[in-house]
Amino acid sequence: MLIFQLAEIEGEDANLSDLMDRLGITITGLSSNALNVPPRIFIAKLMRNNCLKEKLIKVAKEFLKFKLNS
Amino acid sequence: MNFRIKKFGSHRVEPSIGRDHLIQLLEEIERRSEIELFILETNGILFGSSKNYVKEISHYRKVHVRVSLKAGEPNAFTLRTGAIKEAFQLPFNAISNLLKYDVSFHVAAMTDPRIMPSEERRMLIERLAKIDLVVAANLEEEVCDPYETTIVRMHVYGVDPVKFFKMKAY
Repeated sequence: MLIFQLAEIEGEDANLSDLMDRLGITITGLSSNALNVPPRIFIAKLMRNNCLKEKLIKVAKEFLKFKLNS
Repeated sequence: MNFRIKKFGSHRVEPSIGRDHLIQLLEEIERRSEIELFILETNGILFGSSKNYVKEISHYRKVHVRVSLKAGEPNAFTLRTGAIKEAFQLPFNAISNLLKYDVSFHVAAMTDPRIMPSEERRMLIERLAKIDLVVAANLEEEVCDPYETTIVRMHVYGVDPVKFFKMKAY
């Protein structure tokens, strides 16, 4: 869920690593490739990973509820 | 010369119109090892009308497409773009084509409440969710900025830009 929230703050310009530094947060287990792209592009990469797609859909459903009520 | 440019993009233009030129540009980007990412912004009209075009784009691994939606229903689409209502579906077809050919992309929409009513925003998000839930959740929602061209177009359409930008977006 955090990655969708980060994308709402800054989706396209700042890299994930810069954004996390700025906000003082840490997400463990991410490769340097993932950290070097903006959050929305990172989500687009996750979407194309078939192993993660199911989990991502679950999170997306939750996030959409929040988005539609905001 | 080394400009140390790692990513760049096309903004406020429609690069898909010049298909041959765009393909040449993508070829050049692929060749240049220092460039890691190219963000291709599009209204999705041509990518929605030609699956082959999207298939061709899918061969380039550094490209990330940003599809910019203008409206959540056909009448608003015509009002804002001047295009025929029948073209409203094309950007949504582009999204399906990008999914089909496994192109990296996300969707943006001008959901600024000064321009788009909340019901239309809901329709747009629900329409996206029917295509793909993750694409809908990853929707980039934009607010209207006072670019020079925006101000000129507002004036032409009888909207007072000073009054408009004095209103709060959220």
